[in-house]
Amino acid sequence: MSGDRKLNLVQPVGHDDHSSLPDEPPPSARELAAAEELRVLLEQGDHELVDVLRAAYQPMDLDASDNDALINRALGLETADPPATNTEREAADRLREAITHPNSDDRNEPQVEVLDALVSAYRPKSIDPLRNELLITRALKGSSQRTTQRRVIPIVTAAVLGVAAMAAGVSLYLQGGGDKPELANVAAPVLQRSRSTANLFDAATPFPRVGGESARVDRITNARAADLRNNRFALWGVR
Amino acid sequence: MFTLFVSLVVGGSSLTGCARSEKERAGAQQPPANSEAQAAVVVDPVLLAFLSKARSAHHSADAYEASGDVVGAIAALDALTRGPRPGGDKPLVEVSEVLSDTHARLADLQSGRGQFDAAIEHVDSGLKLATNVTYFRGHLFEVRGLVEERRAKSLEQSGETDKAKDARKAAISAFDEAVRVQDQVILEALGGSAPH
Repeated sequence: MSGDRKLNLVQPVGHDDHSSLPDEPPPSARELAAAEELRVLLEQGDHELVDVLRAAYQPMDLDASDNDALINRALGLETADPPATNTEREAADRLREAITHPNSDDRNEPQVEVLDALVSAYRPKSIDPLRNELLITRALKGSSQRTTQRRVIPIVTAAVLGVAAMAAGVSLYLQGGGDKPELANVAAPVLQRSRSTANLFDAATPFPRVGGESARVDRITNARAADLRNNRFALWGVR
Repeated sequence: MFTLFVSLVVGGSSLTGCARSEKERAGAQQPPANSEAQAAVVVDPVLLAFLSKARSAHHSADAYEASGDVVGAIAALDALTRGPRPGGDKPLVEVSEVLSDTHARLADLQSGRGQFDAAIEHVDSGLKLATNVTYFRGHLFEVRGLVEERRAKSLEQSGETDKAKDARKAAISAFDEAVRVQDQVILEALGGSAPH
C-alpha cells in the first residue's frame, strides 16, 4: 500500500474548487458544519466509522493463526475442531463472563442478548406475588376511575340537549358531587408495610450498653416474617 | 320568556354537569391509595432475606466471640454492612435499624481491640442510618461513650493524660446525648407527656 494515498471523504474547508463534482450544487452551510463536525469526531477517534476507515486505509496485520483459520475455512480445509480466531475467542470470553455473572450490567453484546432471551424463554423469572397483586390492584383502580370520567360526558351532553337533561342535572346536583361509583372502591388487600422496629422493644427499657444485638435481630426477623405471612394470606384472601 | 327560562335552566344544568365533571376529574388525578412510593415498602421476601442474613451474621459473630476469635466476629459483621441491602442508598427502615445496630456492635468489638478510630467510624456510619429518635440511635451514642471511655483508659495507661482527659470529655458528651435521645424515646412512647 502506498504511503501517498490520502483520505478524501470531505473537501477541505475553504476549498472552492467543486470541479470534481460538477453537477453537484455547492455544499450548504449546514452540510459544511456537519462535515466539520464529522471531521473533528474522526480526528478525535470518537466516531464509529473511525475503526472502519482505519482498517480500510491502514489495515493491521492479520494474526497468523487467524489467517490460517480463515484460509482453511475458505479452502474447505477445516478440521473437525478448527482453531478459533481471536475475535471468536474474545466473544467467547464475553459470553462466558455473561453466563458467570448473570446480573452484570454489560449485556448489550448480541451473543449475550441471545443467551438472555434463551434463558428467559426456557426458565422465565416469576414476578414477585406481592408486586403482581399490587400492579393488578392499581390497574383495577385506574380502570374504575376512567370509567367515572366517561360517565360524566353523557350527563353534560344530555343537559345541553334539553329538558330531560335538565332534570338529570338537577337531580345529580341535589344528590351532591361526592359520591363515587362502587367500582372506584375496589377493595385492596391491607398489606403490612416496612416500618420502624422500635415498637418491638420495651420503650421504658433502653438497650443494654453492650450485647443483645443477636436477640434484637431475632425479634425483628420473627416479627417481619409474621408480617410477610400475613401479607401472603391477605393476597390469597384468607382472613 | 319561555326561551329565556329554558336557556337558564339548560345553562345551569350544563354548569352542574361541568362542576361534577371537574370534581370527578380532579378525583381521578388523586394518587391511588397504593401509590408507587407506598408499594415499594411492603414487607416482602427481599426484606426477609436481608433480615435472615443479618440474623445469621450476628449468630455467627456470637460463635466467633465465644471461641475468642474477635477478628472473625468483626469479619462476619463487616460483610453484612458492606453487602447489598434492600433499598440501596435509601434502605428500608428495618434495614437501617439492623445495620445501625450492627455498626454499634462493630464499634464495641473494634474498640475492645484498641481500634478506637475504626470504632468511631462505625458509630458515625450507624448514626447516618439511624436518623430517627429511637433506641438504636441512643444506643449508638452510648457506644460512642463506651469507645471514648476505653480510649481514655488506654491513653492513661500510656501516660498521655491530656489526651485521656479529652477522650473522657468526649465520652461524657456522648453519654449525655444518649440520655437525651433515650428520654425523647420514652417521652414519645408516653404520648409526648412529661414524666411525673
